[in-house]
Amino acid sequence: MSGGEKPSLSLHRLADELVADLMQLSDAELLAEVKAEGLDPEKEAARVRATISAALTERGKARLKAARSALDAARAPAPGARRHFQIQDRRAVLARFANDDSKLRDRLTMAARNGEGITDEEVEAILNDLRDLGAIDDEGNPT
Amino acid sequence: MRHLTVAEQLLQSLGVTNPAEIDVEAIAWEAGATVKYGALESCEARIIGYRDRAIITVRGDGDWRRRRFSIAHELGHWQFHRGRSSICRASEIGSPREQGPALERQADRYAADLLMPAYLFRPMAQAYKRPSFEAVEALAKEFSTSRLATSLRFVDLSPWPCIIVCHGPEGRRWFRRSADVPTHWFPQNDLDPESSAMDVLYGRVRRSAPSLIGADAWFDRWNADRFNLREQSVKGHGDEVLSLLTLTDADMLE
Repeated sequence: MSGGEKPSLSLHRLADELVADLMQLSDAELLAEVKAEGLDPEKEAARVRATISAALTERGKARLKAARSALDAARAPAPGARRHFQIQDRRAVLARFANDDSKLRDRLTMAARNGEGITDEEVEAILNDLRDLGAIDDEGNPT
Repeated sequence: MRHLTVAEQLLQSLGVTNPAEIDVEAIAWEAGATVKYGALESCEARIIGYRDRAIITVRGDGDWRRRRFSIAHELGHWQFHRGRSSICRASEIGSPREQGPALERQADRYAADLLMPAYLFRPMAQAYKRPSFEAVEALAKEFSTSRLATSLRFVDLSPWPCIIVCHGPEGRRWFRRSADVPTHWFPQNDLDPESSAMDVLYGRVRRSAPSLIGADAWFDRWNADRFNLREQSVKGHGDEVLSLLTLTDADMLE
């Protein structure tokens, strides 16, 4: 094992290299190699399939673990207060965004009675989401 | 052999081999969506998307298993309806009724596949000797899902021909049957006084033990009195009673 490399990282690299090596061989070359070593091609194929499948599963698990770490890091509170929108008519900005989105447009135009329509606080929150996603700037203009 | 659904393919690509690994927030992150929790007044959950990124906001209060389902439902919108933002009411998420807006049903199916993938759920359901709410609740614990969502999945994926029926004081509200159950077995609107569901509906017990009863207590079909079935009922949300019916006579499946 190389000096500072984590064991799981080495394992993934080894698995990747194993898969890459196998992919470079033609079926005939692979069969010839297996027979030359006195192995049963069926059993050997099953063994290789299981090895590849296990390697892919491990790689998938590592991806999910990395996603969890990244999202935990992103959730750390950002310094500084949230910027206020310099917008008079927040609903008009949202309506413009909802123009091509019938479901959002319907909810936006629905009366706020019976808790069905979007409240002013929710409009503000959605505009914040749009700004965080890079869709609009502080004035509500498309970016 | 059943093909993997889109959600199941995603889970396999992330190496998910047991239910405890279904980290729905991390899966959302992988899919380009950030999950937030907040006070939502007019809806239960929403997704606001722009290009390849989205923000999912879910009500922070209430049952955490329900929140998981809501996140998975919004991810379903992200998967199938990208380019639209969705603001979903509680009634649009996890509805047991098979009618309703097609977009919401599609998002619900995605959520069920993501949280209870068939490749994990089916073998675990098969490990139980027979259908019961105890089995459903044990599976719900394993998959971190609600009893209702799990019971619907159980009906869809377990090897037994069964039906889940929901009644309120005014009569039947909805039902779901497994694919093996012929459509002519249509549960009656009103509960039969002989059924243990009646005891649950009127609060005499919160749950009945699984027991055999004549099929004519549940169906008014001409030949129903020839068969028995197994029934079990539990108290559901509010004034609802949920009943799990298992068809134990193979002749009922013809």
